[in-house]
Amino acid sequence: MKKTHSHVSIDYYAYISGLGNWNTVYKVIFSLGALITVIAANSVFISAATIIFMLYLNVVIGKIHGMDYLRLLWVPAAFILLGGIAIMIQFGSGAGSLFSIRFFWTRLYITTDNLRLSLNTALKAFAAISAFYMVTLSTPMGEIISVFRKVRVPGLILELMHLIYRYIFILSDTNRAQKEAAKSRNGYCDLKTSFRTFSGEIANLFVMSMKKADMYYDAMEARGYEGDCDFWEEKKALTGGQLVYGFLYGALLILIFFIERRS
Amino acid sequence: MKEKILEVSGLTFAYDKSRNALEDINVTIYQNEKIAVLGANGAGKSTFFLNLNGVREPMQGEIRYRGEVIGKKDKVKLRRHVGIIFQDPDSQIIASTVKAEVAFGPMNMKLDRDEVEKRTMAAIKEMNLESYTMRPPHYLSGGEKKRVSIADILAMDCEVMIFDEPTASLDPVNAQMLEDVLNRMEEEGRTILLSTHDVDFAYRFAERVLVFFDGKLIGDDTPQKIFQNEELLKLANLKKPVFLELYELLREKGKVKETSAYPRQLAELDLLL
Repeated sequence: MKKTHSHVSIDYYAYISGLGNWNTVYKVIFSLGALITVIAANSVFISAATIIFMLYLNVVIGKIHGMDYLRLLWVPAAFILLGGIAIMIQFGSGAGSLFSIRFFWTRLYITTDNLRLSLNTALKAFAAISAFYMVTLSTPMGEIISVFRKVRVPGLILELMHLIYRYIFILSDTNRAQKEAAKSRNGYCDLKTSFRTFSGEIANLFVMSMKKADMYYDAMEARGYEGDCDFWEEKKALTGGQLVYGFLYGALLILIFFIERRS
Repeated sequence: MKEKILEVSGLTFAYDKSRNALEDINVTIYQNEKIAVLGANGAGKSTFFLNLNGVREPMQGEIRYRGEVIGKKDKVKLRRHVGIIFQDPDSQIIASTVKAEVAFGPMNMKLDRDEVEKRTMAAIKEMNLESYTMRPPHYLSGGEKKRVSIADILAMDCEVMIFDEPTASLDPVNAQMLEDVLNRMEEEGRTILLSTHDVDFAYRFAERVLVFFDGKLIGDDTPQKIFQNEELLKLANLKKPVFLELYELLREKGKVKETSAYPRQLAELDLLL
């Protein structure tokens, strides 16, 4: 039985995913292609097919536990559902509605058109996120940055992305330790104390981050850093097996397109 | 006779004008030596190491590597031969995977891709990190991160390896692993300098001890002579190693044979019992 990873951050999946060996540029093109198709097609069926196909890629091929995948989708899903509800519900007389209820001096109602629009928008957003997750859940940050380098993003920005990525985890570890130390001394016992403790933590974190940045720079210089960060980039071959999934997805979309046109 | 690798003469360094972090340091380091650098916190050990690697520049005095004076333009060259493993691996590890991290030094040396990969994988293998190659560093334990930080410098194939408090925050198993690595490096002919507060480890491991106090080098001798100098130990805030105390006690009670070179390992003591 596969284990779920409720305690890990999103980038952990890039490390364990079966799609990790796929060619990075291909994954980005595949993902962006799916994203653009979903937006341009404006079709419930194409959105639904994309959601299912990306779920298949991440869970079956990528071997990410299904519950983990759903948990990761849940946060954006909550926003999408709330947005969908806002689109679906109308205020007014409720004429021609599928469903309506009295709400103070007016009525809340749902029409077929609004229901369709809401469903389409929610599925489209979901599909776009699923397509995006295909890359983020299978590609380490360093490889995503290497794609940016290929599209000529300035080196300074890429170096900053590398360092910030690493730094986020160092600072969050430091902050976790600070928080535990503060909790052990009742630093979060009530609201007022919590605010005071939190502000102290942030101030301390700022000072520590400055100190750590100095140490970081020394450590980089000690290994020959001269102003240009050259990071190792894995070369991952594009195989026929990877292309098959692209063709399958394309064929699925074409099939849906023709079925929709005939009906 | 051993070859001179690093010659430090009249080295003075200050972070600010209020006081010198290092003052008139004179020391010669020979090939394949195992040197422990001791001293209280703030004594100048880490600053000394940063000067040896060229991260900090001497304000006065000079450092020679194999007879050549290290000037501003030679610092990068110096770093190819003198590597530092920092005390806190999180201050050293910068890349998003173990492999990219270990490859950072060789990449900066502008080696070709095949050579970078060869060195990186060899260092990863030596540190027994093969199963972590593509793992992000923040998913490693403290001991594993330490091994990555050592692999970083191994991949640069440095002749002189400097370890800033290598055993700090390591559990006994990882500390022993580190000691094995250090011994292996010595067998490979590398020169090892390490700072530590663990006098037992320093006594057992080093063949030479440097003692710093308030930015000055106040002791440079064999571990036996350094740890027998009570005055020096008191001044530098150091303790006598338990192993040495035990040997002296056994000797006082006539339980062991007298010897001019004191034992530093259990096996050596066993021979004298």
